[in-house]
Amino acid sequence: MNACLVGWKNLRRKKIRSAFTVAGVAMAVAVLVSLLGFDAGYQSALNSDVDKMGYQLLVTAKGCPYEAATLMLKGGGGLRSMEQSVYEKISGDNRVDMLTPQLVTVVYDKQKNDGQGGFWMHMGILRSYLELKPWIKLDSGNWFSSEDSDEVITGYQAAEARKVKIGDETFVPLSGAKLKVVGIFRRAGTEDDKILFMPLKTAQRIFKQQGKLTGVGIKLKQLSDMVSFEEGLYNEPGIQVISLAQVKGTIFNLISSARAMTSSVAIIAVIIAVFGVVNTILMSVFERTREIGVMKAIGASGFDVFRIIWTETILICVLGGFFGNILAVLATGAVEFVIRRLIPYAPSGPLVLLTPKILILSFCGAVSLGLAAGVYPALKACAMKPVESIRWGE
Amino acid sequence: MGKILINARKISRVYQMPAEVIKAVDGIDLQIQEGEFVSFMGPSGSGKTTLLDVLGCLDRVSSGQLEVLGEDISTAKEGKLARMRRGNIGFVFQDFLLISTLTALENIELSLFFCGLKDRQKAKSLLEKVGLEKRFHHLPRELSGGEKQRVALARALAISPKLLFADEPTGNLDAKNGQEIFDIFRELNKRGGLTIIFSTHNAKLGSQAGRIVYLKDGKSVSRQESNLF
Repeated sequence: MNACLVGWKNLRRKKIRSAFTVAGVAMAVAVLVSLLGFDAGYQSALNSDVDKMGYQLLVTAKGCPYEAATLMLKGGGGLRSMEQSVYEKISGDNRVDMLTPQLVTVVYDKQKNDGQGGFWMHMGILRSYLELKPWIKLDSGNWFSSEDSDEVITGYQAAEARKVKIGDETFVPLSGAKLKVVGIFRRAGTEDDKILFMPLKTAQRIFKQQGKLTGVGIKLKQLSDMVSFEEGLYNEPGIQVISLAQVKGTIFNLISSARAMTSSVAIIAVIIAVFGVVNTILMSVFERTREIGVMKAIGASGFDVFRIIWTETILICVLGGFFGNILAVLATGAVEFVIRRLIPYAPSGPLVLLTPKILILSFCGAVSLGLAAGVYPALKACAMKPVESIRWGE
Repeated sequence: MGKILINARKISRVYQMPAEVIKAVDGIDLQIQEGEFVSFMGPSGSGKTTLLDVLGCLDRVSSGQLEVLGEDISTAKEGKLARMRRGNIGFVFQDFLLISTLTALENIELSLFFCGLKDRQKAKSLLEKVGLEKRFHHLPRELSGGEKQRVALARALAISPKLLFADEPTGNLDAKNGQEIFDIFRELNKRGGLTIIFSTHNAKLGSQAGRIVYLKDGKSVSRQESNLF
């Protein structure tokens, strides 16, 4: 015999009511876990996306720096172009470790997605692109035969979507250009998987952007040079320098309103769950007034009664925490599906990352709430006078 | 002469109601010695239950002096009363008042648990003693009235009390079951030397006690004044 058994048996007395209360706590915990998982997942996915760009600084034509950075990350039309001479000027800077020029063009293809239409992202690059992104390897085929060959290397997903293999010819929609597939990159888990790469000069020719670039990715020898490097380019006409660390922060700010809203929902859910628990236990205490009086008559101290009622609350919250975690784990896919459609920019990796730390933290949070929520009903029960309780309702 | 377990001097229990003051117990003097078998008899509203409550440390006296087991509890707070009850005083109620979610065995174990004891064997032997060896794992709703009262009695005895209080213990039982329960009480008193104080309406059972205290309007009166017989 122990307080836990007495509490458990009492919760089973009103099974439906107890189940609903546990479900309320579980829902609140699931929301909390998903929110914390989203925070962790989004940060990790964004970091991974940005890190896999391979450079710390991006030079683009003047415009909204964050729009440009997001387009580079996610892909999309509307990137402005700048003169290629910028690239040549920067390449002479001895603070630069590596750099790569890019010309990104997005072309609409009405045949994409089984005739539903969609965009293809094309990128003109030099070999230095692979030096900055050493994790990108050729799965099959070779690098371009020359700097202006009519050849294309596709990202892994792009090759699957276009159903092409080495040696096939593929058309660039609208331009009328025909390119030979000479290579397919291995899956990288980034936007690179969806891109069609071609030599920089070829891209400039096909898209009529001779001598133009949409961006230059730069990796410095020393991170401490970043500020002075940015300041050096500050007065260059028509260009801007974007630090990808700032981009990360800005994208986080972009979704901060969504996070604030979901945090409010989580907090409200938790508060409602706590009130639900307090209400359930108070009702239970009220219904058991005579039993509590009897317990006191047969020797229970105020603390004994407090302990029994408190244990019931903790049991509800332990079960709620447990099932809430399970619910959150099971619902991860659905939560990710919904979030991807709600937020302005979703990185490539998993958006909801449920770590053991988050699950344990949420479970402990639920138990702590149980400890807090149980105090008032337990004190009410503890303060009951035995003789009045026993005669209650007579 | 036995040891005095209860010594009440001019004790009163007054309830302040919005419209009136009710004296449920009004200036009673009473001494109960170890091993006594005392019945409180009187009509409804005579103060039997209230007197049992204050003597059993469930309630406090409004005035007067009350010593139970040598401790002055006239002005004791709930904490001290709880300590007095624990391990010293057993209760049996008219409505049985078993914990409905616990089995017969668990109801007895709960009583032991509150006294810091874990002794399933003792709980079982007590149920066997009251003839319920086949009802260990039955919930109260699965027991008859007589069986429930036997469980309640076993629960009261689990802590080996020095005093056993019973408020109308046969009130909800038929004559046969009532007599059986009363026989167990008498046996506990005669053979075990347990001090038992009970209240009853039943003149036949009440008269079998060693001493009868007649009550009327909260006062202790003579048999003739009680108008019971």
